[in-house]
Amino acid sequence: MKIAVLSCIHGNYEALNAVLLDLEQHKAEKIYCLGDLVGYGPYPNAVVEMIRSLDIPTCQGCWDEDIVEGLNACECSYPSLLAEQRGKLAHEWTHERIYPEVRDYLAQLPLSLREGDLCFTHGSPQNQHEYLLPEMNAFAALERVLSTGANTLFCGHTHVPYVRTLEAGSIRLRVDYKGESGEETVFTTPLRRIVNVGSVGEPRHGRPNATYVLYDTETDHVQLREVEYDYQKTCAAIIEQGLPPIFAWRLARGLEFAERADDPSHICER
Amino acid sequence: MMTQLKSQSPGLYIVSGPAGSGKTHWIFQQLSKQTGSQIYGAPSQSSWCLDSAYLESQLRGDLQNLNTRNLAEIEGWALKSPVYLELGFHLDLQVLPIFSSCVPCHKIAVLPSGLAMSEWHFWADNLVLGVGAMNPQMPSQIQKSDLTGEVFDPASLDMVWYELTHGAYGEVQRAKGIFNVVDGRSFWFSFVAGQDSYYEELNRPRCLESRPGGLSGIEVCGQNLDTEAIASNLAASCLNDQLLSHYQAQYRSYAANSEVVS
Repeated sequence: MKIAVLSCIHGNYEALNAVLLDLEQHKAEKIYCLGDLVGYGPYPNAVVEMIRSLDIPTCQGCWDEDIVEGLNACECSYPSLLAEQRGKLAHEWTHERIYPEVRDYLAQLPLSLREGDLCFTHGSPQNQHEYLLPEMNAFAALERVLSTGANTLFCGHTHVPYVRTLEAGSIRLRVDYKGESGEETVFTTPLRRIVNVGSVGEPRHGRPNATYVLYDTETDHVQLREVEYDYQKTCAAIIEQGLPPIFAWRLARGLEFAERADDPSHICER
Repeated sequence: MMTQLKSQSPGLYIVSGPAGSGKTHWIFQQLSKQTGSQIYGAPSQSSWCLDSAYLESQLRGDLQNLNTRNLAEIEGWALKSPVYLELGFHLDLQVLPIFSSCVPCHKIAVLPSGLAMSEWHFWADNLVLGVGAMNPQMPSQIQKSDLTGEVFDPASLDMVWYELTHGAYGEVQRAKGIFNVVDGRSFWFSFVAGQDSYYEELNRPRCLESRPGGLSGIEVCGQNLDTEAIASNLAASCLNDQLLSHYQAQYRSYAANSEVVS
C-alpha cells in the first residue's frame, strides 16, 4: 500500500491543496498527518476543515497543542528574542480567529498513531516539542524509535525532510553503584529508521516548495516529495489578513518563520 | 588614474566616494601607519558618527575627533599633522568650504572598480581603488538610529541583519552598525550590496555591568526602506533590564570561574 505522510501545514491552504493533488496523482491510498495544522499561516480554519473532511488520521502538533492549552512552551521553542516575539504574535493572531469546533478538534488529536510497524508522531514520541534533528546523537535517536516499538518512525516538526537509518548494532550497559561494578548487559538492536517528512506549509529547506513523503509498505521505499505551488497567493494572504509581512518574505525564501530548536539535545520540560 | 598617495605628511586629506566604497577603511589604513597625531573628522555627519566611533575603537593611538565646525582649528591642525576629513557620498562636492591656500589640501576619491566617469573623477586630484562594484543607483533614503546603551540578543541581531541585507525591509545598498551584544562585546557590522557582510569585534572593554556607554547605532542607505519595520525589529532584538541583568550575572560567573581554572 502506498501511503502519504504530511506535516506542518501551518494554515497554508494553497500548499495543502497542491500536496493533496500531488499525492492523488501518485495514487496514495492512505494519508497520515503529523500535526501543526495551524500557526503562522493565514487559513488555519480552512486547513483543519479540509483535513477533517478527508478524515485524515492526524497527530497533535506543538502548535495545535498551544492553541488548545495556551502558549506555555518552555524557552527551547525559541532560538531568539525576535523569534519569540514573532511566535507569540502568530499565536495570538491564530488564537483570536480559530473557530470553537476547530479548537475542539485539535484538542482531541492523539499524540501518536500506529499502523503495523510504523509509528507517526509530530516531534518525537516523548513530546510534540522535541526536535529529532538529523545530527541528533545516534543512541538518543535509536532510543526514541525503540520506545515506540515500531521499526520506522515518521515525524515532522523540524520542517526539513530527511531519512535516517539507524544501523543494527549493540549497546553495552553497566550500572556502577556505590563503587561496586554492576553486571554488563549487551543489547542487540535491529535496523530502525526515522523519516522526517518536512513541511507542507512552512518549509525551511531554502525553497518555498511544500514537502511530504510517499511510503510504499510493500517495497519499504521512501520517496521525499517536493511540490511547487503558488506560494505568492499565500504570501499575499498573509499580508491581507494582517499577519506580519516578514512571514511572507520568509515563506517565499523557504526560511523558517520563527520557531526552531536551538539545542537539539534539550529535552523540553513543559 | 589611480595613484599611490603619500599621506603621512601634514595637510588636509579630504576623502569622498560612493556609499560603501571603502572611504573609512582607507583612512583607517593611513592612520594606522602614522606615528604622530591621528586626526579625523566627518563634516557631513550629524551629532554622532559610526565611522568615527569605529576608528576610535580600532586605532591603537588616541584618535582626535575634530569639531569640524571650526575651520580655523582644522587648518591649524593640518599645518602640523595629516588631517583626514571624510565626506558622505550624499554631499555636494561643489559647496565644500574653501581652506586657506597655505594648507596643503589633497582631494581623494575612493572609488569602486568599473566606475569610469563621475563627479568624483572631476573633483579629486587623487583616485584610490576601493572595494566592490559601483551601484548604478544612488541611495535615496538614509536611516540612522542611535542605539547607544542597547544590548542585543545575538541570535536576534543575526536574524534582523540577515533580513535587512537580503531585502526584507527594502532595497539596501549600504548598511553599517555598531552593536553591543549580551556577552559584553561590541561589533562592527558592514554591508555593501553585492558583497558579503563583514563583521569585526571592536577593541572596547567588555561590559558586564549595566549598560555600555560607547556609541552604538545603525545607518542604512537604500530605496523604499521600511524604516518602521527596521526600527521595530531592532527594538524587539534588544534585552530589557531584567534579562540583561540575568545574563550579565551568568557571564560574570563564567568569567570568575575561568580565572580560577586558569
